[in-house]
Amino acid sequence: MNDGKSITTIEGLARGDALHPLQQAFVEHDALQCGYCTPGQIMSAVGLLFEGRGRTDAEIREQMSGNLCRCGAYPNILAAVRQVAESRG
Amino acid sequence: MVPFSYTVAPTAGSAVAHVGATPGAEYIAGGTDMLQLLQDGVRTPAELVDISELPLAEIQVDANGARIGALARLSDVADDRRIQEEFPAVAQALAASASPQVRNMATIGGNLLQRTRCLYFRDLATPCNKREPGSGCPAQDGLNRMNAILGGSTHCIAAYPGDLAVALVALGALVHVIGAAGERAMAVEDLHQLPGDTPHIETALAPGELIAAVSIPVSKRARRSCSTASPSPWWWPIRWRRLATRPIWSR
Repeated sequence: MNDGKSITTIEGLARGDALHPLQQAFVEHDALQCGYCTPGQIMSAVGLLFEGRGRTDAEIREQMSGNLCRCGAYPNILAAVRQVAESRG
Repeated sequence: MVPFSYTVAPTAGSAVAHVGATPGAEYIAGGTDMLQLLQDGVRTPAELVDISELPLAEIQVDANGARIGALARLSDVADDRRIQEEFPAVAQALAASASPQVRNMATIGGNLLQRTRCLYFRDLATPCNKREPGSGCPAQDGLNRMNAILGGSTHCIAAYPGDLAVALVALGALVHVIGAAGERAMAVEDLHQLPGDTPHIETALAPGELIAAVSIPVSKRARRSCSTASPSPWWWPIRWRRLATRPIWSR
């Protein structure tokens, strides 16, 4: 169904050793523990920022609501996404 | 999941003819409900006919109302400024549905035809009159907090889980269907059937019929409509119903 479309996965975000800003922010804000949900969290954040969303905390929370984190890193995930959203203006 | 073949429908007409004549052939568009049902083994199509690329995704709005293609993605309709202005209940119902990822994949037509979230329907280990007529309804005395309080029967109390349909019914919308005999329209209110003693029959669609679009008439009432919701989008069964504001509030 996505035949012919271009798909970017978590492995495609970094440029060599240079982390994507969201990856960097996740590290800085300790936004992961076991790391199992982390690729999905970051890809969802990439998506929401690409769509120009995430101007408020409430909007970030709602846009990220499709990704669950059993370790409960939500406050730090929010902080990481908020940081990158704000840096993009 | 049982093995199935996958084909891409070249046109709506050929898809309708093929699926209508082929037992075991079913449609797939966004696939957000179909995939779950396949994984749970609730649906076992022999063939999935992909209609997602058919030209039925346009959102048209004019002085008379809106015509929303059945293949329009939920997020595209929710984000459409004209829909937000003229039919806020629809935009709000969509924006509160599922999650952003699902909304980007799911289609309007698929949303209308999504299956119930009754625990027993989606669990092959339990009897279910909807899946297997006559096998029983464990929900009657079981875990039924998410089941219907209105419209059920002794055979089935499965609730319809979608929010969009409620807003469409409140606004007097029509659903346009392509069948073997051509196109026909019915009120959205008439699309879904009460379970009665035939819970396995959920809609008024004939085999192979394809939803092409939904149309909503413009009105002052529609412009002042709103969808109110409980705080969590996941507790859809206990949400408030969608309301069009009453005429006394319109200027």
